[in-house]
Amino acid sequence: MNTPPTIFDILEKHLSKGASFLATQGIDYQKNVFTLNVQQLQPSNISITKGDIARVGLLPSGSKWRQGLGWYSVFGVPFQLQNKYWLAVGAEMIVKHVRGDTHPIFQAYIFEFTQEQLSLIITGLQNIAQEIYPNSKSIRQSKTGVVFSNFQSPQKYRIVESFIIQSAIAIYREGQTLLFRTVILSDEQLKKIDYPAPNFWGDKSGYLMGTTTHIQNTFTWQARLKLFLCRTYTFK
Amino acid sequence: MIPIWLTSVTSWFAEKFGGKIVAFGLDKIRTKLQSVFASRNILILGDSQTGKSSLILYLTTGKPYQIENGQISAPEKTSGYAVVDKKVTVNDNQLVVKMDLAGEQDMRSLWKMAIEKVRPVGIIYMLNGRLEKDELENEIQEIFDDVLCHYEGNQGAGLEAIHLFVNFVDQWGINNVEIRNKLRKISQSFDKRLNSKPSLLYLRVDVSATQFSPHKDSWIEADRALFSFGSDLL
Repeated sequence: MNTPPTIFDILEKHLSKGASFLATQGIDYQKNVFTLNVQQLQPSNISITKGDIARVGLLPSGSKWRQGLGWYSVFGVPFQLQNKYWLAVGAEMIVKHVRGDTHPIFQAYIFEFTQEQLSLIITGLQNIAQEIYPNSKSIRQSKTGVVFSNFQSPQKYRIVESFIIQSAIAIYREGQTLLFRTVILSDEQLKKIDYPAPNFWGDKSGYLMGTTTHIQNTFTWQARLKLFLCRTYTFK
Repeated sequence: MIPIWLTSVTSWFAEKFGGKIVAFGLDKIRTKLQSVFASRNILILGDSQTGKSSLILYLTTGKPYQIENGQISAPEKTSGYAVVDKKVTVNDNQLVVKMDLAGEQDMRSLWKMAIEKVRPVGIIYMLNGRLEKDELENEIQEIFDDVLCHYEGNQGAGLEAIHLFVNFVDQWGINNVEIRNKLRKISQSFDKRLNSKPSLLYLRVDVSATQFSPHKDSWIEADRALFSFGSDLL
């Protein structure tokens, strides 16, 4: 029997060719520690280390994961390193070990944010959006801020994922940077140091994130208020 | 229209207690201002699975565990960092726990970032007391390699104290003599290394045994260790 591809399979299929680096975080169950790896995919005179990946805030944050069990979030995170602009496109997924622990696993393909690489990123994201949600349509006028929805399962949420990815593509196409995250799995994502701070003028926030009531209900009231104030659109 | 009786009662009250009310109000304002300006940041560091998040939960909620769906559970593994930013009172000392950081070797670049951003006045370093002597020696060396190296020749960075909490004492400390022996050895090993760093000799250091088991009702050892930590930052 064929098992459906995971989000990590989908990312590999559409992003691995053009990316400069691949960063992955898993867990060593014997030692019960997170493992972080960075692999260079293209010849380059620049090296990105594990320390860099942790410092620029790419890793999933926090110590509360149960609320997002079974969900995954596709992200695009721009960052600056060694005087260059980069974009990490990847996904984090919350999984459960047989022992009962819940934790995130993570994979990010890192591209230099240049015109040449940008076309690879856009094509990759288009293909990912199509594979996640076959009815995915491109968007001309994109929004920024927080997209609300009330979907209870990751399968039903795919329409929102596709919308957010398509909106991100529209912004990247204009050569602008944007931090996107298809679903906020932990309220710690809203407190990351050096991330674009939430502001109440949605069109200029510099980020686009999705949230669903199912997960959002477990967040602190401060996080929920922040999300509400940054709401840009609601999926019904 | 304000009734006459209310005006009379208010005048009498103001005459009788006015000064006290003003003094009480000022005292409240002063205490509030003191707590706002005197709050000082602390960091809790240590290897993975040494109980950092449990200690943070204990400091911020009074219990080292969380209750989800009516079930008690220890905090889940910390990935990256979590912003805590909560004010706690330790031995009458207002301190702020800024972040919960992962302990994995691969993520220790975050410690440097946290030290630079938070500029802690005190650091609690959690050690896994269940480790054997050699492994503990390695962990003590890591305190110098991954934490104190950022302070060498940099006294202005503001660190006043570092306390080592040797955790899981309920699993390694059979009796008080054994506990004292282990703490003494750790203390000696730490001091031996500290002695070779003249610029760090000003630091106030202490070593205590702790446990944050979710299956216990009280955490006396932790209270004692925190009392000592709070005193060193007064």
